[in-house]
Amino acid sequence: MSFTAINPPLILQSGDCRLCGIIAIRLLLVIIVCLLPAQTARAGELLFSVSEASGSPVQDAVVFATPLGNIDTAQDKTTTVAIDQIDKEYVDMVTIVQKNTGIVFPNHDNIRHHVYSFSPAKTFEIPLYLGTPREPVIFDQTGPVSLGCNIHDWMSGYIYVVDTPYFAKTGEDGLARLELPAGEYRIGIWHFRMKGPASATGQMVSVGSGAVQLNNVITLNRVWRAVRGPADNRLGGYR
Amino acid sequence: MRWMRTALSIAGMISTCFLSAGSAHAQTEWAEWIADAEIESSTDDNINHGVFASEKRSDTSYTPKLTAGRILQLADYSRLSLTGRYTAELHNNIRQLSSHNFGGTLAIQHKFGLGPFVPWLRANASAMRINSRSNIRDGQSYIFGLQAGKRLNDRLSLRLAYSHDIRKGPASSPVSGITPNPGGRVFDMQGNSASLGLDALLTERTLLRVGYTFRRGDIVATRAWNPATASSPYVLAVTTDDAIPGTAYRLNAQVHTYRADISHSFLDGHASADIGYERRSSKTGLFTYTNNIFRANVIYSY
Repeated sequence: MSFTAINPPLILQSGDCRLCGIIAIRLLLVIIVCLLPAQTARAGELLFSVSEASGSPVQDAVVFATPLGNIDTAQDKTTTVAIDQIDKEYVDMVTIVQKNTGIVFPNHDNIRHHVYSFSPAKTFEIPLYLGTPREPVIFDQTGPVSLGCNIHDWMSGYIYVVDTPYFAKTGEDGLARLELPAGEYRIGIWHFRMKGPASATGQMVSVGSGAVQLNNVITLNRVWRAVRGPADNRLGGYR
Repeated sequence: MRWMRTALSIAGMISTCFLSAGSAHAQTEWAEWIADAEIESSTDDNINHGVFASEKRSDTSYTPKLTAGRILQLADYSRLSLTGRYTAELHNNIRQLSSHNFGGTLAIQHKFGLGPFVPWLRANASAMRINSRSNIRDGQSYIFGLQAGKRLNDRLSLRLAYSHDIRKGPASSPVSGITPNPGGRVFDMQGNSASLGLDALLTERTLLRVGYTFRRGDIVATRAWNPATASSPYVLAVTTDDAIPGTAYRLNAQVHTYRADISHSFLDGHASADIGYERRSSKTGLFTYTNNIFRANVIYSY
């Protein structure tokens, strides 16, 4: 917030004009001072850094902040998100949605896919289809959902369902940023290869006017999925 | 005929799969294209099945293969694939062994449920025309097979297979002067194989495959003319070989094959490069023949 844009010497010329100028400046200052608390409440920031013990940044980590106060976080039930299937892969591999969000699974390949999940947060199946199914799948429980395709075993994707509108996914640099109202929050961090909880998981954070930095070191497991690749018939190909 | 019985059994299994497929709700529809290109190089240190080191002939072959086809989705868990294949086998040392072949495969695969860990069953029937530079090797080959598999855990999967193979060769001239004369149809062959294979993921893109196959059936050995061998009751047919100098003998053998391959996937899973080694031991009533085969291939799948 800066006040230097107003230059009093240019305004204070003489007589009435001088009086008007002073009143105008005071009025402007009052308005700015009144607005200050509201501006600060909307501008709180959480800066997440997720890395392995070696210092390598962790991409696709889910970070979220659940408000503890009386902030309305209800999800509009008409919200729909798409997870595409392109070249026999889920795009994106990790998707974060708020509870009660509907997800559609458009199939952009010219072959059929069979989407399924066995995860406790959402067990569902969309048998073989082309194009986009008409009805979205509503994700009404929080937690991780692992996706598969019954035709192409190597296809895997993840949905993380959160109960807050404040979430983000880390980029290649392992960083993510959340803008959120001032208040108290409980932090959550998840990665589909994570072994054990992250140090900041469950941590309470008070967000005020400034930025809060949260550095997290997590340990990753290897996740094995069926290898995608053609094989000689002699060896028993994937078809 | 044994092979007819096998074919009928496989047809019965395919029908059963069709029936179970009919209970699911997906429409029967063409679902996927198959378009693969492959180049394989293979070196065999005993391509003629010689017994002694001095008579063993080694050779390297280069085989481009093209496969095209479609997959028909019969139901949610059952699919039928129909593929055509062309291969050209070019031999480096014994050029008369070179051939070009074309044929097709019909296969039906059924997965017993949802997810990567449920078992699957596959039945296939394939036929191939063999056009060899060697006249006695011309003919047709037929394979009827059954395979079953299951992913045991994240990194290991198991395969079991049975196949019946038949090769029909031309009526080659028998070698005269043998009593009783077994005839000259050396490349009229058949056999039954059972195999067990284990796949292990070494990295997220590298797969180790090991396997063992037992085959009881016919093999052909080309060796110097020997009247005692030719008249042996273990020899089922004899003719003069027009590719490898010597006499070709058809014998019944028990063949043990041990195999290990490493396959690495690249180009986002559209291609893989494999290298492999195979040790084969063929035991007949007369001799035991051993082969060491090294293979390397690259496959691209559309």
